[in-house]
Amino acid sequence: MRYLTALMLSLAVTAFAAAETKKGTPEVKSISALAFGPNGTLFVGDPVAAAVFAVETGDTKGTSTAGLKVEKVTDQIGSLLGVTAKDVTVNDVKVNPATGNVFLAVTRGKGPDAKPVVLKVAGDGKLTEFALKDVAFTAAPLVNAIDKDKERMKQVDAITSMGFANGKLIVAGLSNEDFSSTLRVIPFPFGDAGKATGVKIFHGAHGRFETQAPVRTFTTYRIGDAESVVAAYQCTPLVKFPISDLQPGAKVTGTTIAELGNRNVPIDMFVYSKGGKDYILMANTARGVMKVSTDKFAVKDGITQKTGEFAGATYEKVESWSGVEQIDKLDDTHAIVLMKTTGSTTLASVELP
Amino acid sequence: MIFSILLLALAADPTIRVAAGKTVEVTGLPDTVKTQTPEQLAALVRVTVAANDAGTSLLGTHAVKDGTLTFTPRFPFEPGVTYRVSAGTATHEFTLPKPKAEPATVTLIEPTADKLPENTLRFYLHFSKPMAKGDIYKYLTLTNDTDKKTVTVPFLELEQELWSPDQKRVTIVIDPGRIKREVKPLLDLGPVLEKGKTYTLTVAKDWLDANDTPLAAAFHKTFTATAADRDAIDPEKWAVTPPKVGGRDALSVNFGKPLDAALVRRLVWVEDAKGTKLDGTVTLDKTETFWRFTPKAAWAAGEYNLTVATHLEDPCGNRVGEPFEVDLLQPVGRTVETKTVTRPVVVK
Repeated sequence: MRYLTALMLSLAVTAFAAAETKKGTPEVKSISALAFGPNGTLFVGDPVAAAVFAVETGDTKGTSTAGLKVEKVTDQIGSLLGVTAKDVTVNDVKVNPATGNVFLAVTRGKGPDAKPVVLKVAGDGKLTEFALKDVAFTAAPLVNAIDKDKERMKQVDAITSMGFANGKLIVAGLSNEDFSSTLRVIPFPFGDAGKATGVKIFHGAHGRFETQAPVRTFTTYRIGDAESVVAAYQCTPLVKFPISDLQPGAKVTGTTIAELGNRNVPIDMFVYSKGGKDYILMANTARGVMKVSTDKFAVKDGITQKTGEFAGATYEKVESWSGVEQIDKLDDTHAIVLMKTTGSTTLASVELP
Repeated sequence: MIFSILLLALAADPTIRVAAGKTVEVTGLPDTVKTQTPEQLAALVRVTVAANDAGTSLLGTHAVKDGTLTFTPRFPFEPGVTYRVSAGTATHEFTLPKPKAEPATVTLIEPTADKLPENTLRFYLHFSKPMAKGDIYKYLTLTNDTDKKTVTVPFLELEQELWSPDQKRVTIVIDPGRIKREVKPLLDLGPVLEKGKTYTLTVAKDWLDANDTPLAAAFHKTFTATAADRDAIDPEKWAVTPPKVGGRDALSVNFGKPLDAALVRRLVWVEDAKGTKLDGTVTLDKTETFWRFTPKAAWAAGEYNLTVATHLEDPCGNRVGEPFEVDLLQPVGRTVETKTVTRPVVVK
């Protein structure tokens, strides 16, 4: 125990420093997810370092990216990083809501020594590196103790999605060893290192079976009076739960509000309004982009019966968008998408359906 | 205007050299380079990836010292990639040689048993070398040998692939929507594995390692599906054989069923009476049903604890005191709230 405490202390002092903002170079080892917080704060989810870094981007000005279209974007990124497109992976695309500038989480290379890079795309389509060097940042570890045990070193929690709401950063992930369903909630500004609290997320099927249910991707949305998380589970249903339920050590069972169909792999989602109604736009690997009506989200019991009258929220497939790999909301009428078509990947602004 | 003057001045053809495979050095440039801004230098000497569109240059820094312009790339030049350097009228292409390496092999797939419960949740694929991340699901096929057909999308195809940091082990999860009962994918598509049928998991030969070399050979794991295992792990039922005092015999445990190979290596350990974890080595045997702990130091007489973290799982995701699926209509609910449970072991 003493050993552990010492380790945690050294962790707090060296790798993550105190929670107060300092200027320097965060030791980012990998980036699988990005999210924006207040005042241009960029959250960088690093599964290998098992931490989230909150970086002050200073990104306060932008020219409109509403007409953005960058063709062969992975070739261009490769050119910047000195590799061919096959060694470029775009892990996440996020828009800074304050400026409309687009930030990309990129990995250069495919091996264990691959390098994480953040790139910024402005309205003119020009790509520049947002260097994680000499920046003001804070960090929050996602595990309470790092064990130097050789076997323990193989364990990684993939970060599948991050979002910021109500002053809290919510981090969803999946372990490469156990089927844990922990959603981590970190108040921001980050408090003392190690203050991420875990909430166990469950899935109740037809009122009978209850299972752990890791979240694949989510967004936040106000349903009735409750600021809520709308999430897609790894086992596919779309569920909701109030953010206020995300208390330390809590066990939360999501209410199923839609069945998304089989072989459906949700990648990203966000909420937008059109014609006075709210929708969730969701990108999937198998079913393209889905526009989900939020009309029935307020339902109390959700889908609990096999042949219940409530069939869940309805959705339509957005036929014109295919090969969408990443999606984020740009403004009230546009989204930024990363689309893969035969032999080429395009980053573009598209009008919301 | 400035540009044309530069071109004229460059007519003498600068000399381009790759220094130690790390930087590009250009000599024979006009004296005016001393006063150029970094942007002007970047426009004067451009390094691009030959295979890509020439419009974008590599990130890096340009510096002039003693008449030599040095370009240091932001990331090291990658072996096997051809780069083009343009300095006025002079151009030069270079490719750093890729080290030749033996191809990687699949060394092991866990669970190692050839009979697996039909609700098996995950496999670990072990490789002899670090592998390339990305697009891995296209290299995996699960065939139902009994019915002679390929199982459609059996795995959870995560964009964030579940690699160990050294990229020598990847975790493959069977779509939990086709394991969990009363869930739509299972109701509509049926299970991935069915009791009594034989399956082969094939790893294709063209899976590339981190050095872009395909595997030495394809790998096949054939197994027969057995009845679902929906039982929580119960350490009280384990057969524990205490070692003899004075020697370094193994303390051995028979779990009665296979446990998750990765978790069991780190979530079961031995503590002395003071609660200190003993140093030693763990080996697994008999398709992950047997666990042996050989201590570093000889056993002293006394009481020990076999300690088990309750998030230990079997390959079907059942935990200590908590099955993968909790049947809420059954009187037995979730009972374990503690983080560890212990079994006393007396060495005499």
